[in-house]
Amino acid sequence: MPAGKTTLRVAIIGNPNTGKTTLFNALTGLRQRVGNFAGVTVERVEGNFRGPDGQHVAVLDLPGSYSLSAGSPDEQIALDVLLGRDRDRWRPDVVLVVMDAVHIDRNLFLASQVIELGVPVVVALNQFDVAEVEGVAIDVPELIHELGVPVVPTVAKRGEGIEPLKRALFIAATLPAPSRQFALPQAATEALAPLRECLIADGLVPSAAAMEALRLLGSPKTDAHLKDVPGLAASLAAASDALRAAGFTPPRFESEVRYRWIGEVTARTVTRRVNSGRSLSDRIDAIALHRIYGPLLFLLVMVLVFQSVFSWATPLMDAIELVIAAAGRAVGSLLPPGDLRSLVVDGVFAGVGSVLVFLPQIAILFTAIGLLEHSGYMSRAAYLMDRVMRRVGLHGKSFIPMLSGYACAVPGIMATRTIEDPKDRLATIMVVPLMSCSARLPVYTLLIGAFVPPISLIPGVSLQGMTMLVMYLLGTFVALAIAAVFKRTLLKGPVRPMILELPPFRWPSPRSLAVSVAQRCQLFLRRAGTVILALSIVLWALATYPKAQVDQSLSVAAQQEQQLEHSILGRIGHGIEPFVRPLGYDWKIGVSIAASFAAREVFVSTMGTIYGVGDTDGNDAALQTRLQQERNPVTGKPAYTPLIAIGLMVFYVFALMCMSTIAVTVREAGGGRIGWSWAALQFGYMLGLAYGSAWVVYAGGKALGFGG
Amino acid sequence: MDLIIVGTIVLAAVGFIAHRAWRTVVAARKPKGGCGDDCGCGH
Repeated sequence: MPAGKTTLRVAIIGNPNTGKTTLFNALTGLRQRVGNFAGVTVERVEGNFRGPDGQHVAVLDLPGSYSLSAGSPDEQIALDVLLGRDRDRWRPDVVLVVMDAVHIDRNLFLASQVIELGVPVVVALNQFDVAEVEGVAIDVPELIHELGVPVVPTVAKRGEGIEPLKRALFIAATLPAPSRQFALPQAATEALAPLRECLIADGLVPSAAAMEALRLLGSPKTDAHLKDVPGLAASLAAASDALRAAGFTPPRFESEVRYRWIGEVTARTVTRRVNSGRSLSDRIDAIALHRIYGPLLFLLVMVLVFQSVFSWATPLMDAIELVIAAAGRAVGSLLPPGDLRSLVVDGVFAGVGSVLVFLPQIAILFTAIGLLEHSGYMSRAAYLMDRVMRRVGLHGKSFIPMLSGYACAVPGIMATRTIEDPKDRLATIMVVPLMSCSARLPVYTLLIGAFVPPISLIPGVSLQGMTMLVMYLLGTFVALAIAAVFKRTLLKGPVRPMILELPPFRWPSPRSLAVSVAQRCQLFLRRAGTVILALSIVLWALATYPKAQVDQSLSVAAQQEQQLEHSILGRIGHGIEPFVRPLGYDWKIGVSIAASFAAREVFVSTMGTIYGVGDTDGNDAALQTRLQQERNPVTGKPAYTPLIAIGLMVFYVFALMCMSTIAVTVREAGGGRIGWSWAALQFGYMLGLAYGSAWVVYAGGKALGFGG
Repeated sequence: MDLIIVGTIVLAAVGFIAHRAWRTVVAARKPKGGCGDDCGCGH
C-alpha cells in the first residue's frame, strides 16, 4: 500500500480477449459481461475488493488495447487514464497487465509500453492452462527478470492464481516503478532528447516522457494532446527529422525497437513444443471458415437458435401464463369491485403479465447467443461477414457492434468505440438499431404465435421459427444496405482491411454462461417491474377515464367497447387511426404503437391492458387468443389477419422506438447539435423505412390476394 | 376512497416515467461514461 493512502488503486489493461474481464470478475466478485471475442469492454468499469489484511482495493477495468497508440476511442480512454489525463478517473497506484500466455510475444508490446509509464506494474500470465495444453512453456522467473516486474500465472476462469496475484499487487505498490528494459541506439536517444524534455516540462515523469516520445513518432496526426502542449509539435517534427537523418524511419521506429526486444525476451523465456498435428480448433475452423460450408453452417446455427426459441419456450410460457392468471384472480378476489380492482387486474396483471410471459424466450435466446460467444464461434461469424462488410463499405470490426445490437442497441452503439475511422464508426452507429434487439422479441413472439401456424417445414424446423429468423435477417440485411448508402453518400471514405484475432474454440464456462443469462433475465424483469409497470398503470388510466354514459340497452360487450372508445386512450387512438389505417391497423394497434415509442415491449403490455379493460366476461384467455378472436364490429370479419401481423412485425423490425438508443446515439455521435442531428436523421429514416415497408407488405399482400 | 388511491398510484407512475425520461435526456448530454440503468444493456 502506498504511504499515506487507505485505498490501493489498480487499473487492469491488456490485449483484447486475454480474459481481462474474467480476471476483473474473479478479483472483485462482480459479474461484468465476458465473451470469447475482442471488444467486449469498451468503457471503464470499476469494482472493489479487500486485501489479505482487509485493505480496500479499487479496480478499474480498461478497454482491451493492442498498444497505447490511441488509434481508436477505446485505446484513447486507456491511455488517458494511465497518463493521468482523465479528470473523471483516478490515476492508478499499480497497473495490472493481463497477457495471454499462449500469445506472449504479441502481448508484450503493450506491456513494454505500460512498464515505461512510471507506475508500478504486475503482469498476470492468464490462460496459463491453455498455454500448457498447446505446448507453450514459459520460464516465469526468467520473465520476471527480463521485465523487471512481478509476473503471476493465472487461470482466471477457474480462479487459479488470484490470491498470489492480490499479494503481488500489494508488493508491487511498495516497489519503485519499473523503467524501459532495453536501450535505444545512441543516435536515436540524442534525436529524441528535446522531445522528451518537452514532455517532462509538460508534467510527465522521465520514463513516461520517454515512452510518450516514442509513441508520438508513430501517431503524430491522431493525437489531440499535441495541440495542448506548447512547442510539442515542433519538437516532434525536429525529432522525426533527426531520426530520418540518422537512417531510421520515424513512424516504424517504435514497433522496430520494441519487437526487437520482444524477440530477445521470448527467445530466452518461451519454448514451444512443435505440434505436428492440427488441433481440434483448427479442424473445426476448416469447416467454420470454409467459403461454402462456413456460411451454410452459420445459417444452420441461426435456424437452430430461433427454432429452439419457439419449441422449448412454449411449455414454460404456458406455465408462467397460468401462474400470472391465477395470481391476478387471487389478488382481484381480495379487492371489492371498482376502479382499484380494475387497475390491479386489468392494468398491472394484464399489462405487465403479458410481457412477463416472454421471459423463457429471452432466457433461451441469450443462452444460445452466450454459447456462441463464449465458445469463440462469434469471431468466426465476424470473419465470414468481413467480405460482406467490405462490399458495403464498412470495416469488418463493425460486425461485433452489430452482433451486440441483437441484445440491445445501446451496448452495440458503445461497442463502435473499437472502430478507429470516425466515418466507419458513425455509419455503424446509424445502422446498429436495425438489428433486432431483445425488446422486439415479445412483439415478434406475440404476433407469430397468434397468426403464423406451427407448420413443420422440415423435421425439427417450423414455419414459426423460420418467420422469426426471417425478421432477424431482414433487419441485418437492411442494416448492411443502409450502411452502404451512408458510406457512399454522407460518410464516404476508403474501405480498410480488418485484422481479426480468431481465439481458439473453448468449452463455455457454465458459470459465466449462467451469470450472463441470469443478468439478461434480471434486466428484463427489472424493466417489466419499473418502466413497463408504470406505463401499464398510466395506459390503464387513459383507457378507463373519463367514464362514459353507456347505453344500457346494448350488450355488455358493446358497453365495454363504448367505454373504451370514450376514454382518453380511445380518443387518442382514433386521432392516430387515419395515419395507421393505410397499414391495415385499427386504433388499438395505432395507440399501442404510439405508446411503444418509449420502449418496444410496451406494444404488448398496451394491447394486454386494452384487452384487459375491454374484457367483458372475466375471460382469462391469453393475449394471443384474444387477438385471434377479435372481430371488426362493422364487418364481423377477423380484425387481425396474418398479413396485418407480418406488416406489423416488419414495422417493428425497422422502427427506432427506444429513448435510450436515441440518447446514446446523440452522445456517441459527438453530442450537442451534431449528435442530435445524427440522432434525428436515424430516427427519421428508420420511421420512414418502417412505415413504407409495412405499407408495401399490406398493400402488396392485398393486391396479390392474400386478404387483409 | 378508491379514486384517491387510484389517483395516487397513477400520479406516482406518471412521475416515475417523467423522471426516467428526464434522466435519459441528461444521459444524452454527458460526453462520457455509461448509459442509463433503464437501457437494458447491463453496462
